Amino acid sequence: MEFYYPRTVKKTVALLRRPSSLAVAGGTSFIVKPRVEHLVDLTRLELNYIRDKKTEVLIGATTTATNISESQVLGRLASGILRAASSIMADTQLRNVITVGGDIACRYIWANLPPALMVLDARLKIVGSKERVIPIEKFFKSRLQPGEFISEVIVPKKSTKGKGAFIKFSRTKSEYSLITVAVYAERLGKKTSVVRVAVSGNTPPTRIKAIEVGLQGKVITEELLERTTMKAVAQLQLTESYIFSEDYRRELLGTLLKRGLKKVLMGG
Amino acid sequence: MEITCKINNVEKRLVFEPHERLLDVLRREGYDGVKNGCSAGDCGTCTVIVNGRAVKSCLMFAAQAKDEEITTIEGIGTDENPHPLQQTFVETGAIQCGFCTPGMILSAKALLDKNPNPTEDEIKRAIEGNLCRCTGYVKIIEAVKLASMRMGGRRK
Ligand SMILES: Cc1cc2nc3c(=O)[nH]c(=O)nc-3n(C[C@H](O)[C@H](O)[C@H](O)COP(=O)(O)OP(=O)(O)OC[C@H]3O[C@@H](n4cnc5c(N)ncnc54)[C@H](O)[C@@H]3O)c2cc1C
Ligand code: FES
Ligand code: FES
Repeated sequence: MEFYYPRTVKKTVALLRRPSSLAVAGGTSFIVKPRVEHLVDLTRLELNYIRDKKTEVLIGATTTATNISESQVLGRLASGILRAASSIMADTQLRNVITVGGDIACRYIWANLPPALMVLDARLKIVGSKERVIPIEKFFKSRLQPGEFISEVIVPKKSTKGKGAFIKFSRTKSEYSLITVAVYAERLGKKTSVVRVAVSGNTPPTRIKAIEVGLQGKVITEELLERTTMKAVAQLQLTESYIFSEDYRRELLGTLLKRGLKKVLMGG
Repeated sequence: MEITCKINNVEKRLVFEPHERLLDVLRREGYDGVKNGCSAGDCGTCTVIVNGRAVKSCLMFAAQAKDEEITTIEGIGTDENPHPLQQTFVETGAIQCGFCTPGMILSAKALLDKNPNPTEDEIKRAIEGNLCRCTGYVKIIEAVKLASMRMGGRRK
């Protein structure tokens, strides 16, 4: 096995294109010895940045959870939903090394940042033999090609002007998330104009379109919120868990979704 | 493979296999104040400071430490001249079995170096990744407050 420290994106792509190679960002997912021949360090590519552009905020792939949780710029977007999601992830020492790219690319069911990024309509810049930009949702329905890696997360400012909320549930604060809920909404007069909802933990990171459609363009009442949420939750396919019963997790998901939606849509 | 890094302000050359964890390499080099509690990122006994930030050395490849500055418990005080945190942990009874202590003190040090006058919530947050199965944390928080006061952080 060998460990590489490329300084350019081009070199990184060339290294990652070889069979049996794997990127290392924070390294926190490597609890067991990786069965690969080449480990490629992504943290020396100067991809640790948060840039406030005119229409977007750009987050470099190796920006840490600590950096995100302390960012003033990100604190201003959608009630600071990214700050919230990154500051209640794992614990202080782990947040100091966990990267946004790693939290997405590990595709773990408990990941906090993917649902929060999904409700902001974030896109991922992927570099490889050529560069492409895809919606974060598409990343979870596809695979990276050999040599490809995530170099940047792009958060469009126009989809962050409304209110957001992020909830994580776990038995202890620093344990892996059992459920995460991310909600984002905009309003036009008395009616909602945009509603986006995403979850992880019980399912891989995913948007819940049934709730979004059910609440979009509506005057929100407690009754509507209850009915729409419970119906959507009943239809969701939950991943198996050997710790908690499905009934319990479904009940909990409904409760947390309603809590998040109420906070954003009814101010409480 | 081989890297250089600074450990406790001394330039070091480390030789290891690319898959090895920083935790194991540090212990092999004699820094056995770095403890292996869980090997899974849960307990914090393996905490060291890398470039000013507390991190868990069981979830870090030794290779990731190339050119970085590492501080272990061995580097912050001696028997004759302990770090204020080491002194206050002893005085307040924040140590029982002692297994969590190096990690606890390093997490607290990383906090105080950045924020000399932390609130109780900030202290709790700094040590949230360090489990103690003996003390119940109350004395540990007291020790960090006392050290912050002695190190010149003003406290209301
Ligand atoms: C005890 C504990 C509790 C945790 N709790 C939570 C939690 O509640 N919520 C949460 O969100 N996370 C949590 N985590 C973190 C999570 O499990 C992952 O370890 C972390 O998100 C991985 O990030 P990393 O930067 O360390 O990535 P790495 O471990 O370096 O990499 C992860 C994977 O992604 C690949 N990769 C990394 N970066 C890129 C990139 N830019 N492009 C393409 N591929 C890439 C790597 O090859 C690897 O396969 C927890 C971790 C621990 C140890
Ligand atoms: S040994 Fe590293 S966190 Fe437990
Ligand atoms: S003193 Fe024993 S674990 Fe903390």
